[in-house]
Amino acid sequence: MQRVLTGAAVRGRAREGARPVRAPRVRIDGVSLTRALLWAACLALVLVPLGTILVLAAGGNHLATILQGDVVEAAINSLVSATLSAAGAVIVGGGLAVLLDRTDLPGRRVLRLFALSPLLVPPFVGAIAWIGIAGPTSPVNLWWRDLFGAPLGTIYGGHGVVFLLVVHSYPIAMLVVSAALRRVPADLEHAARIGGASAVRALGTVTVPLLRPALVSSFTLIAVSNLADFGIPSIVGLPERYVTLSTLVYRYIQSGTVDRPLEVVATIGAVLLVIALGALVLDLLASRRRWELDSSASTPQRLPLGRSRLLVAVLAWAFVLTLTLLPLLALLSQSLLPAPGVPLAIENLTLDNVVRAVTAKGTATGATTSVLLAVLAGLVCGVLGLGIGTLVTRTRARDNGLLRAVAILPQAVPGLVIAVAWLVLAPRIGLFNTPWLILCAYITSFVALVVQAVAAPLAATPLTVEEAARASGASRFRALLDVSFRMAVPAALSGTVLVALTAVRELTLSVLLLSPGAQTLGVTIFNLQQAGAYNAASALSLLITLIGLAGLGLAARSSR
Amino acid sequence: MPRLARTTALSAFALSTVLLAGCSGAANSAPESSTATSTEADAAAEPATITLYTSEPQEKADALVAAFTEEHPEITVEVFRAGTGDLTARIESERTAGAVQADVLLAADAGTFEDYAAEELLLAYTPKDADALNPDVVDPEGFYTGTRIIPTVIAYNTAAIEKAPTSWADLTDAEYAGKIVMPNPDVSGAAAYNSAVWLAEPALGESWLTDLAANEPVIADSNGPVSQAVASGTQPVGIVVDYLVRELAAQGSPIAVSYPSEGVPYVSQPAGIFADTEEPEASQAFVDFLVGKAGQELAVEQSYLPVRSDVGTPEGAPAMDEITVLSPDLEKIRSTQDDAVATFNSLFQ
Amino acid sequence: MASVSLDSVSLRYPSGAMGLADIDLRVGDGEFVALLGPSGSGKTTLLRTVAGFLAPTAGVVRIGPDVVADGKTVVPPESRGLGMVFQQHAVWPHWNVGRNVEYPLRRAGMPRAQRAARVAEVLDLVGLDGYARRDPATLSGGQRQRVALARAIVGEPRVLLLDEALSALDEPLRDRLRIELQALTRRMGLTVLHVTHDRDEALALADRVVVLDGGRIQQVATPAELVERPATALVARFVSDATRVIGSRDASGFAADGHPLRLPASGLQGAREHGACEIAILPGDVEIEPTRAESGSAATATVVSSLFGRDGNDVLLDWAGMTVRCHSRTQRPAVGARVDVAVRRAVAYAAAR
Repeated sequence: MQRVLTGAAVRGRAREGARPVRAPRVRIDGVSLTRALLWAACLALVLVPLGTILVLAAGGNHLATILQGDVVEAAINSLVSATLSAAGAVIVGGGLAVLLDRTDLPGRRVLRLFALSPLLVPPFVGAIAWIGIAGPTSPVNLWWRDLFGAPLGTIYGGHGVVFLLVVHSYPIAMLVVSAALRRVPADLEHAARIGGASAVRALGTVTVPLLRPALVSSFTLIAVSNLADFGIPSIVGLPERYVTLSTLVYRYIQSGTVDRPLEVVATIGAVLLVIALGALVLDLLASRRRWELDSSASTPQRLPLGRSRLLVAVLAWAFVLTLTLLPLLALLSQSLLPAPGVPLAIENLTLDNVVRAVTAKGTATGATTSVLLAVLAGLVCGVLGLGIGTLVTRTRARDNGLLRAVAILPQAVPGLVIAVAWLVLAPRIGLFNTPWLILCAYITSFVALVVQAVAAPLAATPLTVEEAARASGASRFRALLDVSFRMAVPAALSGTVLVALTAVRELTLSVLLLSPGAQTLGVTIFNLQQAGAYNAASALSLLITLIGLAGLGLAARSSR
Repeated sequence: MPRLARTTALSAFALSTVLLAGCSGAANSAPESSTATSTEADAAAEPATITLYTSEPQEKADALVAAFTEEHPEITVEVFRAGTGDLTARIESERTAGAVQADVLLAADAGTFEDYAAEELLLAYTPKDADALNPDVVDPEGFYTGTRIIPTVIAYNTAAIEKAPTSWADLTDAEYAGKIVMPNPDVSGAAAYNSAVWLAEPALGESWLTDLAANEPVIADSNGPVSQAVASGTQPVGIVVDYLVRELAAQGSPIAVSYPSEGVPYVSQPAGIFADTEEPEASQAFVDFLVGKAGQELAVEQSYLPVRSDVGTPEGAPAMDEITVLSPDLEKIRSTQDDAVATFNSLFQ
Repeated sequence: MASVSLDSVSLRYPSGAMGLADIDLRVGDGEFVALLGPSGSGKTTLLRTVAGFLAPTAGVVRIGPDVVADGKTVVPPESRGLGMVFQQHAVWPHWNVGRNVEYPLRRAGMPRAQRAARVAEVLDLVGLDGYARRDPATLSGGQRQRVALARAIVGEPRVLLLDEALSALDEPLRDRLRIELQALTRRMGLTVLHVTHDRDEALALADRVVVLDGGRIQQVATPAELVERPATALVARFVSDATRVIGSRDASGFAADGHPLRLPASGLQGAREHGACEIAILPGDVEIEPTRAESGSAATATVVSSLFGRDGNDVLLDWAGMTVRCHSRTQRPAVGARVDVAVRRAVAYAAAR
């Protein structure tokens, strides 16, 4: 039946329909044990903290409190900014992935590194850099005002929030789509070319639609995590009174206007969970129709851009450098000037801030703690995400959807709320004032990154690769270990890198969960900023970004 | 899930809890051993470890603790530094989980302490030489004591502004339209307090606030970004706490401070001791140090206006008696603060 | 090597549809059996049931003496001692050729030294001598299928299952692999179950062919029997492109319903009952010649298509509204030409219930 189609898309459902329910069986093998272990990990690291939020929320009925007032407006703002920014991020990230992976764009390796750099800049630092570039009295706006009497437009407000969310999340879409792109066999595009499509049209009508699972899963991931972002809406949204649920959470905690702030905040967390659940259901519906692609390993041909090569190159480079190098340059100029407002001139340049950033008491300990926690979080999330992502795509079980949802849901909860949940739990599990508490919170928040990175490419691999292993004498578990996991390892590794990069500069969780005297890099930057050492904060951010870029470059080179 | 799987999951969780608890036990033991060595060093005094929760900038908090430890080597101070909001969240979470883990809180404004006092979280303690202190910052019931005078003032960019505004009223002048930046009272407790003080001040009140709103100030989230915006010229005029301006000026930023003639609202960065503390004496010694002569001299060194008159004022700041301060009735301000924030929000839409 | 037997095996999908209905089949030790049928006929379902990827809802499946499925318990695929080749080869991209082929030996716990020797031997057997260290991505489609074949036979499976194993390959390559496959399986004495929708391939390779339709076995026969004596009109049409005609039979012969076709009793084989019946006309039994009638007679048809073949031409006719297939060694009329049709003989079957 479906085998008649050669090299063509096969509807996954049809295949699924061809499976009868097995004769009743209660088989305890490695696969069910793995599943049980992963559930146990999810229970401990996700369900317990999420449950704590729900219990806190249920402590008093605050639905009435939050339904009046600003919550509805903030919820709408959150939904709109998360949806728009995810769409934008998928368009930008997907477009860049296609350009970098499938065309002969000049300098694409270096461009890829630049394109990934926003991952390394803490969003709150990026937001500050962008205010310098596109704030009301930025050079551009001042010049425009001199010419036309009014500024061109500022980054403050909802559009700025969406823009910055796009800038800081498109690299995730780019990574996920790139991985999927490498799996689309070149034959399919060739078939379209023969069918009369131009190279660009073949890409657009065959390859891009086949990327849909990756596009959908990165959209969901980004939309859900942007729901919870705090740094960007607080810095560019609040000045224009653009309030989202995550900034509202801070307002409730900070202003003392409500009696039981934790319960109200937990209620908002619960609301966000419900919104995220809705997004996941939509994702499930959207990914029901999926394709199996041949595991044919014919190397895809790069699309020659031909005469437009130069034009496309100039546009792509200008676009990426504007999004990435401009804020880095803003950071650099701040790093080299002694204080804000000092004019940029050779005689004013100094390395004092770099020295201050590097020698600040928190920097060394913060770097050690952050690197350690980021590596551990990356590894744990890598293993969990590899297990969950593989299991939910390569085996059949009724709880697959649930397991995946559980792993992804925490993405939607603001860091503050997750941190509160872990703080409440901490004394009961003996982790109070230990770095392990931060590790737990990182895992809760970031495991989704690996799950999505693993699930997207695996979903399009034919199931016969495991069946071949079974027929060769491998048990279900053995086939999972030798074939499914092994094939998922590259995706899990890139997910691990993503988690480590996110964790190494994390702020909202760490700031609340640190034990007295301890530091992480994100908190160190934040502390410098709070201490008025803005330029030292910029210097430290820049250093982290550069070291991260160097690391990415090395990783990219060694994997080639 | 079938029963077996559920049991497996539960026991796995239990196991992981035990393992993690094991790790934490190892991590916890480190500070205790360091306490032991300090005992040998100073056998005369009772060794103690206290935990300080503060919103002081890290470098200042470190300097503070270092100076205190010099005076009291037997006491180890562990510092947890975070913004006021994060401190509140942490304290609330700890209360939910059991008890507050801090001994001393040095942060925020009097209002927060009033709330904690009302909930019987604080230990009553009046510092040793309270008589030498500015009486406005000492809680009559003794639950907290102000440690710095942190007034909110006008800051301006000296490169962009030729004639500095000298009063709050000046800011309503059309020449400052689009040039003003101020902190968000929804986020900054001090800003919320300021709104209430401005509204309660007959010379200013709602009409002044309405006129100020007409100049469309940018609302940044807290004092830090405001001072940065002024220094970099993003908005050349700001309403901000004074010490940040002095520090930036000292680093070379083109920024200066102006104390408005109508008077300045201020917060006092109070210190209080949590009732659950196991080290009341050590905590009290720390609070004594904060408002004592040595502690206040350090505060002045750190650009703060002091709460006692015998330590001078920071470089570049006027003498204490040259500054008009607005010290309205705290009870009244607290009762009107929520409404003041609401009024502010409706005016500055 | 081992035999395979299925007794009253049925497989019902959760939707209620029958995947397999009452299958009885015995495959002898060392026998090469092809499963043939149109799409959705159940041939792949049958193969996957033997493999253990599907469990029958009723009936007993045996491999050798062992019961591997009986409607209650199922022996998992890995414990059945099988080898299997898939249409899309399923060569694991993360391992080199040697590692791929070696995998079943590792699972069987064979010591390393023996494994290497065995892998080399099998790679030699499939014509990939010296390819052990190659990355599968660098191989052609045919080479990858050879890797898959080597992997399937390396562990000396009790039964070799081929799931459209040659279908994805191009014709000359498929032809060559067919020959090699037959030589290989005969030399090793392998029991083979081969699923294909390619009739020539089934007839060419198999000792016996099982024709399936709608989840039921229609006929089990040697290739020659299948061509000469199809058990039903449906089999005749599927295997040999026979034309099926409904009509009735009496002492004089067969008369088609609503069509001028008449056949004398002497030209009819098969069922002899009078009354409603169905006949199958093999293409080779239809004779054509250019029409002589001016205005056409009852035996005149129009040529719809006319394909050249090495051993005769395939001509498709429209004969008074009925499509008839003809295999003519002598005639290759032009498309649109008028021809006179004569049916030499046909096989009669009792009317389908």
